[in-house]
Amino acid sequence: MIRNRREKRCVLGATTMLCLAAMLAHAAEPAFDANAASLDELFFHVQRYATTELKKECKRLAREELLARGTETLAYLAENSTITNGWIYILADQLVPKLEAAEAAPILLANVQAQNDNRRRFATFFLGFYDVPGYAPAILPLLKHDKLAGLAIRTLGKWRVKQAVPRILPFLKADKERRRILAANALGEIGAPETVPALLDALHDPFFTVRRAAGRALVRLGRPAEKAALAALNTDNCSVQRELIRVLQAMKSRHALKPLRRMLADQDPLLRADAARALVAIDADAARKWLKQAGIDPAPFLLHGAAETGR
Amino acid sequence: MRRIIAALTLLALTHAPGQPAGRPRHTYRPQDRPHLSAALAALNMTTNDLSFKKDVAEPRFALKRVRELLDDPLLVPLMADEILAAASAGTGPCWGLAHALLEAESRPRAPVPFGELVEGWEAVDLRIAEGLARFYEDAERATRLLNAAFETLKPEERVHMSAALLGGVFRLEDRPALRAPLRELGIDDATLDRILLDARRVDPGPATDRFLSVLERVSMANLLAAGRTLQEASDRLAQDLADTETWPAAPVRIPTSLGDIWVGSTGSDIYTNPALLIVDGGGDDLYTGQAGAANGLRDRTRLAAIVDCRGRDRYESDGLLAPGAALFGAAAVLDLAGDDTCQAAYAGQGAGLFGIGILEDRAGHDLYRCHALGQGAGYVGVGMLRDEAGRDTYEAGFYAQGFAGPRALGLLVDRAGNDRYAAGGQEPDYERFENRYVSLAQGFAIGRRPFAGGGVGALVDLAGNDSYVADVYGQGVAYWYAAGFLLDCAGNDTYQMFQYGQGTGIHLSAGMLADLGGDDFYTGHALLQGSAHDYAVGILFDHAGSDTYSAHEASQGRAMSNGLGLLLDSSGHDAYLARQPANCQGIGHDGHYREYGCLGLLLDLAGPDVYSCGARNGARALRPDYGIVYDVKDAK
Repeated sequence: MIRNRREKRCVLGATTMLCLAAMLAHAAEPAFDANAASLDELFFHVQRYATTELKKECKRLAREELLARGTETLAYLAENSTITNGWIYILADQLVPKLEAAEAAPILLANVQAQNDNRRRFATFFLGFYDVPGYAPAILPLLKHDKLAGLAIRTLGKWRVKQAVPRILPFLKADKERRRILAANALGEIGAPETVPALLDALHDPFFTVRRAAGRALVRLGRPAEKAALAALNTDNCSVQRELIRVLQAMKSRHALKPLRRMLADQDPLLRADAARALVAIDADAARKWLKQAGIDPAPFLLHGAAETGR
Repeated sequence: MRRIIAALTLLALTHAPGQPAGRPRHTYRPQDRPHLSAALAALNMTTNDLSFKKDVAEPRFALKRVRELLDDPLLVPLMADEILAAASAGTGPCWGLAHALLEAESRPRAPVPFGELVEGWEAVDLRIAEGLARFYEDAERATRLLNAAFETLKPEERVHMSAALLGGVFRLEDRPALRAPLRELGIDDATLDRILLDARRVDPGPATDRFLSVLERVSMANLLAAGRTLQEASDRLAQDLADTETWPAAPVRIPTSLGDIWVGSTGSDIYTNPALLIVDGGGDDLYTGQAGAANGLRDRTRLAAIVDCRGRDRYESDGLLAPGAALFGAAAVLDLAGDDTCQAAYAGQGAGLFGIGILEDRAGHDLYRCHALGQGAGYVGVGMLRDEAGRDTYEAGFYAQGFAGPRALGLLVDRAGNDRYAAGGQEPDYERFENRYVSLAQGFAIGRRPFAGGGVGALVDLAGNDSYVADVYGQGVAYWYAAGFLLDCAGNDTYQMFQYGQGTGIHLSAGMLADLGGDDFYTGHALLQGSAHDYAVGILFDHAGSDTYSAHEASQGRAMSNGLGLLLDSSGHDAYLARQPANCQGIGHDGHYREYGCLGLLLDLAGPDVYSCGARNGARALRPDYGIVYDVKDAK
């Protein structure tokens, strides 16, 4: 095991030289012995830009071998996530779905507790791909860490950790746009009804990225959010009103049909269009009739509805 | 505020002293702006929403002006206007543009004259000698400025930077034969071995940090001033000697402390040696070897200029630096007349590599061919190719035709004629599309991901029916904190490529294609025609004619992975053809595990049009997550 950065560089350097010497000496050979190669050697080949057939073949064999070594490779990648090489994450991304939580999560947990922020970042991110909410006590403290809070929010959301809700909620008002998005996403995934007012408030956000994330979260929250959205629909703020229409449309809220029909007569053409679109999405047959009654051609909205459902 | 500053810069460029005060051309026309607002309003958005977070990385450095494009995408067309204004007005305003974009310090260090007397002028006609003396004085000044530009760089650092750049681009690792031309430049084997070893390290951080720390120490203000001084000196010399008839019967050599000056004849002369200046009165000449290339790794070859007054000339080189290329130096080639041929085995034809490289051709139908790093290519500095007239052909492998790396401006400007641009066919696109080639050209800029941002690359064609052919990455595209522009002002043009281009931003960058006139054809496979991927901005504006857009997938106002894609066509009977209509045309992407979506906009502001996605004329068709096809039936 490589203990520190300096030692690692020495090992990598020596390995590189050995690989180079071997390749120069046996340039005509199609490949190297991946089974016998060290992890450093395998990683060297997999991250190398494959500009020749030989490099390409080595890369293929090295990738296969690294994925086959499973948890050993995961530990290696986590430990080496301190270096700036995109292949660390590319490989981990391919490897993590192949590994069971029981074998991979403990390795990642050990790295969450590492000193190096890059290792903690790597581990926190990939832990989110496993359903291991029991590890939440290790992640919760990261919410106070400026560089790691975003990843912690994401992972706690994926684990649906209810005790994290009061600590994630303030991030809906964070200065950083991405933090607000992550908070909205996480709160939606956790599904705590008490977050509905804050999520409704996030529909005022200056960026659509946050507004739509909050909207998605409300949709996930279901009935409690539907009730609140219907109540809020009377707002004077047209922009928020239109965001609410999108939420109710995505919920397929039949309770929204009545207020939406009223909006077909609104003086704001954009609001009318949104209402028409939502009606078509909730009940296409009925909407066709209501739109015609309101003097609106339903055809464009029916076409749009098809496109939207094609996601 | 940033838009106001950009507009003021544009105003300054379009009203530069000595330039006619023409009405600036807008790539984003005032009359189009309400439509963008209306399209966004249909999505319950405003132009403020375009500023959603895209600048999410922490490169060691990136140009401020480029970074602003991610925060405020409507600055992209303003930067295009700035480039267009400077390119239209002549070489002079391009220096102001470079100064503004590359964040050159406000004032270059005042150079101290040498006060050195150089003899030997008597060998040529007195009128020519007067011109040469003035040129020489400017060359001294340029030398001083170059000294100041690189004063904090040790000689071994310059050698290492040169080896890393050229050895990397031309792939020394796989091509040992490249050692010979690299040695000729003045790069020793030990340095070459070291950069090969660096390239094999799995942690590129330490070597890249060293590289960037040197790169940052180049004084851009002094470098630009050196290049400008040389270019203006060459231009003045051309004016001084415009009607000279008393050229020597055979080339005359005048040795100086800055390198040789050659005064050619009106016959067909051949120049092979490095020279401070070659001025030739006529004839079909051949410039080869090291003529016209500046190599700062060698003594007395840091400046190189050619002024050729007449004839069908050939500029050819088998070495790494062809005429118009500069490495830690400045080179300026000015050809005043004739149908010329420029062929570079490697770099050349307006390549500034840690330097300033300029090629200006004033007349004739010309052919330009290079492997890479050429035809208006900059890497820490400025590379500019300017062709004023004729039907020209530009062929390059990659990194060319308005290419910029870090801290660089790469500019190819063609003022007139029906021109043909081709980029690709040299370097396979390994690991992605192995049956295609990288182009990385025709208005392309790139940073060093994830370490440092790139520069601004632009191809500007002001007139004619032109053809653009590229493969992977080209035609107004950028990668990693960089900005790429293809700006074509008139004519019926054809744009053809495979992937990543025609107004596309990839990985935290901004790319734009603007075509201001004619019936145009845009063809390609994917991520084209106003598209963006990964926190990027891609814009295609077409302002006249009946146009045809065709693509396979992920194109035509298409955004993926937190990007913003915008295709705006303001007139004509247009066709938007897509093999995968559900994946093209005003369409976003839900972000998948990216946490948030992106925005794709397709706006057609006039005429009866055809859409593969089924949108109808007059449509406000909202598209998934988040996008719109916004069509106006009639401009009136």
